[in-house]
Parts: sequence; C-alpha cells; structure tokens
Amino acid sequence: MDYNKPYPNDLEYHVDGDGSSAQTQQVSVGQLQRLVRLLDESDVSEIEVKRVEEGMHLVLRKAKAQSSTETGTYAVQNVPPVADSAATKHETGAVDARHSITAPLVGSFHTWGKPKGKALVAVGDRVKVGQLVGSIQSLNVISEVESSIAGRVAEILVQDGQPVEYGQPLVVIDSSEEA
Amino acid sequence: MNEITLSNTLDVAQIQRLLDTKLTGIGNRIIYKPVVDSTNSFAMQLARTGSEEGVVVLTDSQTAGKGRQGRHWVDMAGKNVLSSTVLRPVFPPYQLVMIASLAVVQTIADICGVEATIKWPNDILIGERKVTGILIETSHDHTGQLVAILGIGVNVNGRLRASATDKQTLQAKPELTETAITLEEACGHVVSREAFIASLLYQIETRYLALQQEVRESTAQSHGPISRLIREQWRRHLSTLGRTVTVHQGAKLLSGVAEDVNEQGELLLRDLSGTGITITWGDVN
Repeated sequence: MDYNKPYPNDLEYHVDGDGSSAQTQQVSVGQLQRLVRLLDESDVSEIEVKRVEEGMHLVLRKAKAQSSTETGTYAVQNVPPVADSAATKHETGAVDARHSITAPLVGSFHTWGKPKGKALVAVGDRVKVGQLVGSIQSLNVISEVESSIAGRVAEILVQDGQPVEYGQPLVVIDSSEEA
Repeated sequence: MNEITLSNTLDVAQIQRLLDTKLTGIGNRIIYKPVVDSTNSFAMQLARTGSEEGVVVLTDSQTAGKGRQGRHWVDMAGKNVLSSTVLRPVFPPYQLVMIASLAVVQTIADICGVEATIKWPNDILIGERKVTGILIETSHDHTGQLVAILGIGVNVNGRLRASATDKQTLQAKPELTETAITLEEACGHVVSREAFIASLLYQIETRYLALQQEVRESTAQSHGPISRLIREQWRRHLSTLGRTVTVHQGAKLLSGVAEDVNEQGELLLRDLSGTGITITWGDVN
C-alpha cells in the first residue's frame, strides 16, 4: 500500500511520472466500459484520452479485423503523456467529466483543514489540482485530502465528522469546464 | 565511553556521538535552533521544500509551541526535549502514532527505568500525569509526496510541583502541576536530554524503517506481521483500556467503557446503554 497513490480501482494503466520511472496507477472499470461502448457504437476506429495533470495518456483502438467476425476486440495502449493541455481537457471532458476524490485512509472526514477552521470548499467552487478539499482525522492525526483534478465541486458526498472507509468517494469534481 | 554533560543548552555533538541510527539525525540531519517558534512548523517548512527524511529539528525553547486542536505547548527553557522529525511514510499516518508512542515509552524505560503508559491514542503518562505530548502533522511537498512531521515534547528536567513560583510556567497553565510530570520527578535525578534524544531517535527509526520496508515489499492490502506487532505492543501499553472514560470531540461528549482498539487503533467504547461506539479521534479523560 502506498498512501501517496490514489485509491486503486479495478484496472491498471501506467503513468510516466517524471519520465524516469513508471508508476502504476489505475482507472475505473466503469470509465473504461463507457469508452469501449462509445468506440463500439461508433464508426471511429480509435479513442484517445489524455489527462496531463495525472500524466495519463490512454488509447483504445479497434483491432484490425483478421476476419469479418473479429471486429469486437480492442487494444489498450499506454504512451508517454503529451503536454497539450487544451486538447487533453477537451477530450477528457467529452468522455467523463465527473471524478470522485476518495478517502486515502480510514478515519473521520472533516470539511476543514485545521480544527476550528472553515469548510475548505462548497458545491460550485472551482478547485485546482492539489487544492485541499477536506481532511481525515485518524488517531488525532489530521491528513489532508487534495483534489487530483481541476474543475468545479459538483457534490460533497459525506458530512463533516462522518466516519469514512478507505477508498470511499468523498467529493465529486466536474472537470467539463476545464477546456 | 562518552562523557555525558548536563546543560540547559543542547550539545548536538554529544547527541551525534551517542546516535546509533542509520538515517535519523545522521550527519547534517540535526538542525538545532536555541529558540524557535515551533519545531513542527520549522520542520514542515523544510519538508515542503524537499528536505530529506530523517532530518530532526531540536530546540531548547519554543515561543509558539503547538499542541493539538490549536492549543499551546508550554515548555521550561532548557529543560525539555522538543523535537520534530521529517518523515515520508508509505503507511497511514495513524501508524506513526503507534510508533512514536512506543518509542517514547521504551526510551523512558531505558533511560529512567520507569514504566510509562499510553493514554489513547498517544499521550504518554507516568502514573496519571502527562510526561510527553506527540503532535503529528501531515502535508504534501512540492512533488505531491506525503510528508509527516513527528513532533515530540518531553518534560525531562525541572520539578513542576516545586517550581510553583515559576511565573512563566504557572501563569500560562497553572494546572500543569497537577496534570504533568517531568522525568526528573519520576526517576529522582536529572536526566541527560542528549542521551534521551539519541535513544528516542533510535527507537523511532527502528520501527519506522521496518514498517516502511514491510509496506514497500508487500503486495497485500492487509497488515503484515510488523504492522500487527507494532499495533499489539501499542495496545498492551494503553492504560485507557478497561476504564470508564469520557471522550471530548469538540463540543461533543461520549462516555463509556473503553473496551479495546480495532486494527486501525480506533477506540471501541461501550456506552451506558450497551451500544458500541468506534472513536477515531478526541481527547480522553
């Protein structure tokens, strides 16, 4: 378990962090299924998703048919990220603009960053990558919860003081306006 | 054998002679400031700008020492151990609570021959009086990596009950004489802060590096044997268990019998109606 990494979902892709070593991160099966369905139901042969902030570049391509019955297979390719933020944001938003920030550990969720402080964000607020959106207190240690993506706070799923489990979605960020 | 001197000014060279660590406090990893606002704040600034782990900030006196929930930590200049260590754990920060508590208890036993206990989750007591406070703060550095500052304040020398005329201490917190204790009071003689620090850093590092290695090498999500051992040792030193306690969570009060702790160290409380309550944070009285 590396608590610097996002909560793992179900399917892995690879990210080149600083270009020197590959870290393993993950994307949800739900997101991938939507992409596959989109590809399946369309005439296009390839879908490309880039999230520069997360260092992700995912390509789904219809495999070339060896015969007329083999059109339903896909290849998932991971290539180094491209620093084209405008294109990246547009494509990401078109496919799935809602991202859940999940609990990195077990504890009590707080909307504040410091005791007696105000709520860090409210629904409708714009957030940047790395911006604090709450905290989790466990054995009196307060751990920051940061947004992993830029966008607008669409939902705050847990109340202040509520116990949360590892990986539980806390805040939903809508990144569709980040074009 | 190294000669140990007792002074109100820390002897950093002596600490480094006594150190038996691989990483913590080695070489230029001890930063000594005779007076500082807060060792935790200073260490956090270093960590956020990329300071390596194992850097230890030490002082003789803090002008704005921090406790939990925005409280102040009051010290007697030159009498306490006031340290903050930069760490980059790959395990959840609550396990640092267990590591730090155990390290302090073991150091007190080794240096003073006195048995200390842990009031959940990390106040260190001798009898019913507090000898050590631990404040762990976490953040992320400029690369997004988790950093944790392990702040430990130990009442080492001085006599709180005999120093009732010490205006600086008593004006700030007069009830300290009833609720706090120093190691000198507990063991009957002045204690070398340098020897205490060297032992404390060793006790922290031994557990910290073992757990780091276990987590890095493990592919399983469950706790490994070192994690379980640390948690069990911590549990065995908890003087809170079996007692009827009141937990303060801000304005909220919860009362009941502290029956046990779970795998994450959360306190399992049974209230008067027989309902089980899991306590993640709060002050226990």
